[in-house]
Amino acid sequence: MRQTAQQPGKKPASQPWCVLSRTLAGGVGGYALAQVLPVALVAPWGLPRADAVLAAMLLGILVYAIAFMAAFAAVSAHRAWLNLALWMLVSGGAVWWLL
Amino acid sequence: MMVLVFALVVGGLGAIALTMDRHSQHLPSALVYDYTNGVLRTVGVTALVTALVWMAQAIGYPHAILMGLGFVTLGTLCVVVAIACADKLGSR
Amino acid sequence: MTGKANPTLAARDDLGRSPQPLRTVMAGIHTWLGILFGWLLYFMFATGTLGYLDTEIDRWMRPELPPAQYVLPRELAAQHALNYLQTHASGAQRWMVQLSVDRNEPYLRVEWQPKEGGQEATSAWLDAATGAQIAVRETGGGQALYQMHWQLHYLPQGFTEWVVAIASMALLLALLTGIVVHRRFFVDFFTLRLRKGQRSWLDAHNVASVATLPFQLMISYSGLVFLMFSFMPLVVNAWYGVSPTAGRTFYGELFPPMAVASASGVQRPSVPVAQLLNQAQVHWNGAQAAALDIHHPGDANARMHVIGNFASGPVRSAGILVFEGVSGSLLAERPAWQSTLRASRDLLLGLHEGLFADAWLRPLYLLSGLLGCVMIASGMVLWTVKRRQRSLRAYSGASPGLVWVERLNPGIVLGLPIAFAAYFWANRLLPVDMAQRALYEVHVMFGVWCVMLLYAALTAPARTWRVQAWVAALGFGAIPVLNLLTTHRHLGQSLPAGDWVMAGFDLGALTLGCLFACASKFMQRPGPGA
Repeated sequence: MRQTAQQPGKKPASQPWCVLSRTLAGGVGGYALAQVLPVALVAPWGLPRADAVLAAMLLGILVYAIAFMAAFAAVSAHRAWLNLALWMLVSGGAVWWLL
Repeated sequence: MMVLVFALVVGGLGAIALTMDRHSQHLPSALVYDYTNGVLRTVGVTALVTALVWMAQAIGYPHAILMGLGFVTLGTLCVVVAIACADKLGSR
Repeated sequence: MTGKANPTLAARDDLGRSPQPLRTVMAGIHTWLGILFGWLLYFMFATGTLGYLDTEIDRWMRPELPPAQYVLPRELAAQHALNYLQTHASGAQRWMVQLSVDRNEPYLRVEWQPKEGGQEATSAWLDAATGAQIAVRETGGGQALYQMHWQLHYLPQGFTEWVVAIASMALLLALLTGIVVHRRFFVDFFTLRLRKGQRSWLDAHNVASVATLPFQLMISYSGLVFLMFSFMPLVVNAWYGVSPTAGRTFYGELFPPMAVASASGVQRPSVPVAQLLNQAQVHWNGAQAAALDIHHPGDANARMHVIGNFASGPVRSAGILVFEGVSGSLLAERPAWQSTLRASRDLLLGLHEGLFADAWLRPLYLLSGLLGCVMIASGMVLWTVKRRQRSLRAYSGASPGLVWVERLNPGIVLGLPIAFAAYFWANRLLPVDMAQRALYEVHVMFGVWCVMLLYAALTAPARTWRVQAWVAALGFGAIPVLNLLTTHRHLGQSLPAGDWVMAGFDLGALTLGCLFACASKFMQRPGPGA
C-alpha cells in the first residue's frame, strides 16, 4: 500500500471522505440516473405508456447496480461525480427531447 | 427418468471435477494424466448436454432449463461432498 | 469495524486517485454491504425459504383441517361456498371464494368484507364435499412467516419498505461484486477444504454461492422487481406527467378496472355459479377456474369475477372473466397474456415465488433457498474469522465491532431457526381458545430470539455456537414428540394414512434436528484454526 504523499499546502485526501463521496455518487446519484437513463433508452421504441414504464423500470434496476459499481471503479471520487454528471446530462437531455 | 438424468449430471460434473488440478489426485495413478484430461472434460460436458436435451424432450425446454440448473446445484453439492470425503480418506 | 478506515479502500496517490485494482475495490464493496446487510438478508432468506413452504406449514399449524381433497367438478364446491356465504354473510359488499385447486390452495376457503368499511375481512374454511365449516385454531400459520419476508415485524411499514429495498439492492450488488472478486471461479468450483479455518469458510461461502448463482441472481433481481413500482416514481412521471395522480393513472392503465359498478340497492338473484364456471372453462380451453370474487352479491349490479390459476406456469398470470351476476353475460375479460413486457414482469415474479414448481423442481427451489442462507451465514462467519486472524497477526486488540459480530453471529444464524422452532412449539402449546393467540405465537418467536441474542451477547462465541446448535437440535428434533402429545395427527397416524404434509413436516423437523446435532458435534471436536 502506498503512503499518501504530503504536498505542501495541500490536504491529503482523507479516506472516509472519499468513500462517503463515492457512496453518495453511486448510491444517491445512481438512484437518480437509474430513473433517467432507462427512460432515454426506452422512449425511442414507441411502446404503449404502461409497457414503456415497465421496460424502463426493469432496466433501471440494472442501471443502478452498474452505476454504483462504476462510482467505485472510477479513478477518483471527483471522476466518479464527473461521470455521473455527464451521464445525467446526456440522458436527461435525451429524455427532454424525446418526451 | 429424472433419476437417470440426475445421475448423468452428477457423472458429468464429477468428470469435469477430476480434470481440475486440485482434484486430479483422485484419478487412478495408472491413467496418464495429460491424455485423460481432455477426454474427461469432453465426457463431462457431453453428459451434461445429453441430460439437458433428454429432459427437454420430455418436459419442454423452459422446464428443462430450470430443472437442469437445479440438478447442477444438487450435483455440485454431491461432487463437493464426495471429493471432501475422498480428501479426508486419502490424508489418513 | 466502524471506526477504522477500510485498508483496501485506502492508498490515494498525490492527486487523490486510487491505484487500487478493480478486484480490491469490488471486494471492499462486497465486504461492506455484506456486513451492513448480512443479518437482515439472512432473516429475509430464512423467512423466504420457510415462506416457500407456507401452505404446508399452514396445514401443520392447523391440525383441525383434514387432509386435502381436491373435489371435482368444482361447481359443487363453489355452490357449497356460496350457500355458506348466503347464510353467514348476506349483507357483505364482497365475497371471495378460493376453490381447492392444488398444493398451493388445498382447501375450500371463503372470505367476506362487510358492507360498512373499516372492518377487516373474515374468513372460514369449508369442507369441500359437504360445505360445512371446519373449526380451526387461530394462528398466523406459515403465512405470517412468509409475510415477514418483506414486511419484517414490529417496525413501521414505511421504514420497513425502504430497508428491505436497500437490502435487496445490496444483495444484488454483493452478488455482482462477488463474481468480479472470485478469482479462481472454475478452478475452485468443487473445492471444500474442511477444518482449515478461514480457507474452509471461504470455500463454503464460494460453493454455496456459485452452485446456486443463477438462482441467487434471479431471486435478487426479481425481488427488486416486486418493489420497483414504489421506488422508481420518476420513471412513471416521465410518461405520465408530474401530477399527483400520475401513479394512479399508471396503475389504471396497467390493471384496468373491469366493469366496475356500485351497488344499486335493488336485490336480484344471480345466475347459478355452475353456469359461469362452465362458460369460463370453455373460454379457457379446458383450464379450470381457481377462485371467485363477487362484488355486491345479491344486488342488481352484482359482478362475478371468475379467476384462473395464477400458479399454473412460471409466468404469474391467469385469465379473469367478469360476468354480470343477474344475466350471466360476459362484461369484461383480462387475458393471461397481455403484452410481452407485462409477461416479462409476471415471469420474474412467478420465478421468484416458485409456486408453479412440480414435485421435482420444488425440492430444488428449497435447496437453493437453504444454500442462500448458508451463503450469507458463511460470509458473516468468514468476515469474523478473517478479522480475528488479522488482529492476532498485528498483535492489536480486536475492535469492538469484531467482538460484537463474533458474539451475535451465532445468535442470529442459530438463534433464528431456534425462534422458528419456538413458533411451532407455541402453536401446539398455547391454549386453542386463547384470545389473539396468533399474535402471541409470533411474540413467543421473537421473545425466544431475544433470549438467544442475549445469551450470545454475554457468552464466548465458541460456547454459544455449541450450545445453540444443541438447542436447535432439541427444538426441532422434539417436534414429532410434541405433535404426538398435543394432537392426534402425529406420525403414528399420518404415515399409515399417507398424509404426507403432516408426516413430511414432522420428519423434516426431525431431520433438521439431526443436522443441528451433527453440526454441534462437529463444532465440539477441536480442529486447527477453526
